[in-house]
Amino acid sequence: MSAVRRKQKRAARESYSEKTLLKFVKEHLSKEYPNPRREGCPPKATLKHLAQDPQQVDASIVYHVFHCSPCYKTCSGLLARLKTSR
Amino acid sequence: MHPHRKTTPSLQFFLNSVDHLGRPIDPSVLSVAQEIGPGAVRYAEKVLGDPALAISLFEETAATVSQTRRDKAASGKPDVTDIRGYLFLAYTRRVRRQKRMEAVLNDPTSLSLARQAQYADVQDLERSLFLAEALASCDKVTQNIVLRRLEGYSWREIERRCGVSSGAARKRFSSTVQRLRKAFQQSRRVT
Repeated sequence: MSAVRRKQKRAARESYSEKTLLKFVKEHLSKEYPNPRREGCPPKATLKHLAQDPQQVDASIVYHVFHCSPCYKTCSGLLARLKTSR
Repeated sequence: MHPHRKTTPSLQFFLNSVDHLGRPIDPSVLSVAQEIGPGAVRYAEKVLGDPALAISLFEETAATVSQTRRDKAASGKPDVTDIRGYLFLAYTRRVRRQKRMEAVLNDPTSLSLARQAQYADVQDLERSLFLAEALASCDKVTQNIVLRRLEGYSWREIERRCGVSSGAARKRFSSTVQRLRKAFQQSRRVT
């Protein structure tokens, strides 16, 4: 096996797979931003709107979803439901 | 008839510009801290049961974040993109670590276990901070793509919903994954 191929193989072994990374991201978003009082959260209708028509929703809402675990969980549930309903 | 309930006015949240160790908090970090402070400190109070400790830890975190930004500027590294998220994450982690330390103080026999947990905690913290940074640096469209990919949407479905071609969506997503991978490897090197 050539040195380049060996190097590539080692790099691939040491790096994270896409599946692992997405698992970490999902866990991170749903746990790391507790907001028990739901401060600054948009109404559920807005999250629904984000799930159905993301282009029409303000960037601040997407930003909020990435910084609030309860909203992320709600949005994730809505997206999952939307996916299965199709 | 019920008498009117007396409401106590909510106290305004004030933070010192130095923490209890005398380390300064930069004005930019201080303004963000004033903004997220009330909610974050209330959460910590609930976890720790000690308002003074909660505010003290918050000041410590703000001072550490200020120091990190100064260090980054001095070494020519890019600045923290999302101070709000960075500060909040660092604070919640500090609060949780404090909570775990309480258990060790009450039961010293669990010290060896606690040390291992602490190391894992530092690794975890670095990973989360790098992750938050990488996600915050994405634009709205990419964040929408990431949200849908996390739920297992197909590229065709993403194309339909997000208004970008599936090829462009793939490219955006793959560059984000690459950035996340880099962030994770960076966190592994740091710890």
